[in-house]
Amino acid sequence: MQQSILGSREAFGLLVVRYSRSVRAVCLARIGRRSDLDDLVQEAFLRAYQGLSRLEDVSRFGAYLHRIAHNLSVDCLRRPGLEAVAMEDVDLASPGEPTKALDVREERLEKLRRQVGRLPLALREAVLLFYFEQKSLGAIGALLGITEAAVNQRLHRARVQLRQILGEQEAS
Amino acid sequence: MSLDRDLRDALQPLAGDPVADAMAVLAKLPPLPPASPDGPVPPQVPRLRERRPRAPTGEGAPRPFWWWLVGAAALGLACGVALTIALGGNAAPTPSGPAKEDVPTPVAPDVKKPQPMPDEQLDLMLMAFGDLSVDEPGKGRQALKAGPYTVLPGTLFETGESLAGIYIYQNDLRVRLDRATAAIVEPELVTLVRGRMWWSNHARPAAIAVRTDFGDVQADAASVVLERREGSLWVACLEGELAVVPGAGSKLRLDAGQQVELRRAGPVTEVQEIPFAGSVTSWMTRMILLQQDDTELRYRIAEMRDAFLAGTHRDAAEQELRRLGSVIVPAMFALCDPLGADPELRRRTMALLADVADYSSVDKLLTLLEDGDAETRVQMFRALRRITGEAVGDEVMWREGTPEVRGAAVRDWRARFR
Repeated sequence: MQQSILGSREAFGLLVVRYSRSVRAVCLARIGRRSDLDDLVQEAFLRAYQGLSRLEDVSRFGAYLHRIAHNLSVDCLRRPGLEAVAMEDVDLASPGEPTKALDVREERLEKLRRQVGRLPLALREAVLLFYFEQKSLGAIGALLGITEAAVNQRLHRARVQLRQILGEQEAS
Repeated sequence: MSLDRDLRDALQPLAGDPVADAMAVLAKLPPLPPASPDGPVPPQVPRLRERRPRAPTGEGAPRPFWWWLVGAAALGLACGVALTIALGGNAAPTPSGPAKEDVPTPVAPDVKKPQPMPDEQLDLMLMAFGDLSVDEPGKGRQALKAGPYTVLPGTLFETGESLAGIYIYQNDLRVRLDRATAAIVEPELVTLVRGRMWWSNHARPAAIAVRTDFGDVQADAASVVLERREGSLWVACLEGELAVVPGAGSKLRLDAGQQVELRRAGPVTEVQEIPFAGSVTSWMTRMILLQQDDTELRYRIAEMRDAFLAGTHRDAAEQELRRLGSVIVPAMFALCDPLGADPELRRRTMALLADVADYSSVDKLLTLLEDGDAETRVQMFRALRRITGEAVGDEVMWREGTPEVRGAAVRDWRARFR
């Protein structure tokens, strides 16, 4: 990290590799699977790079970067001319191809993506961070500014909700 | 059914490709200023958006009352601290409390943090391009995240889903490990346990050997790719010359551009020519891009461009050029005029250029909008629309419009970017 503070592009590239998934999780949780998601993720890194010289404690780079990603996502939703997206219902499902026959498992995964997108933001964010990065609960807690127990609780609530919805749908 | 497993399978496709993200971000970064002899230079990046001043900042603007109030409080605090120190009191450290947004800490105690580059010339410098595992002598197994590290000679690297680059200052040896590779690296001996690796000591000759259970490969100055396959070891010499010493059988000599396979059952295959070296090293393309080594990148682009033009391995070369992405645009753009004599090749080149171009290539694309070939103009129009999200005119206009109409549209588009 010190290397990229000193201006090494190579080292910054590695920071992108390291944090790309969690930044994407933060953006995805807020704006959903939109066409400008990639742009948003990249812009978060560009802004982080721009502010590196002002970052006093380099060990806080991760938190700093995720704050940028969070703010950009919120700005993105407020942008005029774009269709407003409800925070509590983002689109994580792939674009529908109604004519294409999906196998049972693929159908279940698609259903899961849709239901994760309908989880409350706090739960959705925890789920994405956990399943994208396989991060420890402590690491996710540090990123979200909550305790490990709270992360665990969010994941538990998310799983309960998903089980209920999927169970009901499958039963019906 | 396991919900955990299903969630992982359902959400992983959304996680994106970190290396592709890194390439896109690096392409958008401005070039770094030249190194200053006085020390490191902070990154110079144009501000994306100017911050609006929150209060009057002009020299003659009157200071508001709260400004004087804060100043007085700060002065009082400073005096208090100075007095405490002067009286010799050991001021208790101010409890800062837990930071609200701590950095994500490593997932387990055995995770190692990236270290600055070493003074120790014997150490190995590792560039991890993703999560990988190392077993370091005396320190044991550690999980590493992407980043630069120093590790001890004799470390076992297991790359898993990641790529890894290793450099040894002592003898200028460069080693690259592909995904799913395991190797023990020492300055003069690499033991390839499984997977695929490249090594080069071509720039600074020194005796290097790679050991496998099929035999040894030795070279004083060469660039080599080795791959452990099912029941065999494949060796390809890209530069220089090397000696292959099979476990059973006589020693072989390979020159640049030659390959051989040592088989567990049966004799060593005959030495053959490598049809196209670009395909042999295509797995390293992402490392070359991420390492931003201008010399190697330029050489790689030139090599692939020449192969593309020569035509013998045009399809393979085009595949490699596509893998390199938008960095090839200047080199391919320079071919526009020389290719005039071969319309089909020119058209293929333009299609390639339009496909890989990104925001950094907009200027070149705008120039090609004025091309004499209608198909080229339409391709550039589509590329610009994809990159910028804007469109000036439509495909019919770019295909059939008069030079005057098209010229005005190009000027309009240029003005938007200015």
